[in-house]
Amino acid sequence: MVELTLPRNSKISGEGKKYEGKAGDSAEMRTVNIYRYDPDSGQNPRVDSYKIDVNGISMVLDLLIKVKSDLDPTVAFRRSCREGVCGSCAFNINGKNGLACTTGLDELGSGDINIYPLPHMPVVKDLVTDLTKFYEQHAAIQPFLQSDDVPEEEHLQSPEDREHLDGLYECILCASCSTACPSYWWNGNKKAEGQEDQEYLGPAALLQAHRWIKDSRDDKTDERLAQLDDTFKLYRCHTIMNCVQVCPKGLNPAAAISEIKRMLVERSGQKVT
Amino acid sequence: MASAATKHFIRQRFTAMVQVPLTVWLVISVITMIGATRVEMLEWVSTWWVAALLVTWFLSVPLHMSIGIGDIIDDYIHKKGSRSALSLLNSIYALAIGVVGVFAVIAIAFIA
Repeated sequence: MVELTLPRNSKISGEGKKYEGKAGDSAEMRTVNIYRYDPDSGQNPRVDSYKIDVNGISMVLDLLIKVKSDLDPTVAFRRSCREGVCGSCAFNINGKNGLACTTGLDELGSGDINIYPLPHMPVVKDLVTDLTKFYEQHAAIQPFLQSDDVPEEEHLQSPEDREHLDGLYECILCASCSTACPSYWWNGNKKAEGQEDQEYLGPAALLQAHRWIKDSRDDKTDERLAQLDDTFKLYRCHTIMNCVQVCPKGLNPAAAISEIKRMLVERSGQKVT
Repeated sequence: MASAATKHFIRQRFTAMVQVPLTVWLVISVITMIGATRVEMLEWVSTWWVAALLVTWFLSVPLHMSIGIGDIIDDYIHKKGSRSALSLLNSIYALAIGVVGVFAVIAIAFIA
């Protein structure tokens, strides 16, 4: 059966610590609640509150960096490019997955800001999640060009064919979409149950699969479709659309998945009307 | 040749498409029959084209239902043994509803 109780040491319990920064004359004090978990401590997670001056801060990532540098250097989170390109700083911010570096404080209303790790992923520490399975699923769709041609210089593509990749190639693998998907929560990782052959690949991996299926230079379209033609790998998508709602790049994994399904129907010799 | 997974998907979409006009027709028909006597209802069901549409509806609805419940079982039941047992029960339940429904329509059309 599905696991209805949370694993040990995963329930938030106890009072979190409270920190308060200095409030100057022009200070705009705001409270940020951050999920804290240290597996080495053996304790359950807690939520710490940080009251901090947000004057001059526009993005959530800047806020996290200020919390870390001014109030609590022990807060752990990933970040790198700070401009929505690397996909490192994906968290659950006020209940919605997204990139801290492209989420503005003005998008979060006037109340407290709650920052949690990406949902349903194993937590390494605080806001850092273990994305090993996510990357394995991306590798499983063979995200590289497979062509029978061996051109002298490079594989050429017409501008029209290149346009077919728009809305697909921009994915930065931040995992916001997959970790927002209930189907992925239930069926994305079944290693513990010994059923890795019955896992849903998730919106991010399937969007990338579609990106290579649509690539005019790739010659393995049929093999790629055959690999996805599976009750669990693909058909666990029930078009819930959370992936579309949260994608920080404005992509549409649900449409890509629907297109793969349509191609599979056509491949089977039958038409969807 | 379609795989089992794609066949399942096609069946799900096909039965859904069949049901949209049929269910709209059935709901409107039943509403317009409000106040009709039992004999008038039996006569209506006995009409050849009404009986044919009702039989189609009773074939399509349990099939679509079993596909939908099967998806829920596949989603949430991870133990292979439990999943197979529940899938079997689901199929038997859908088959029973279909058989009873079709039998009822045929009985009214040819016997009542």
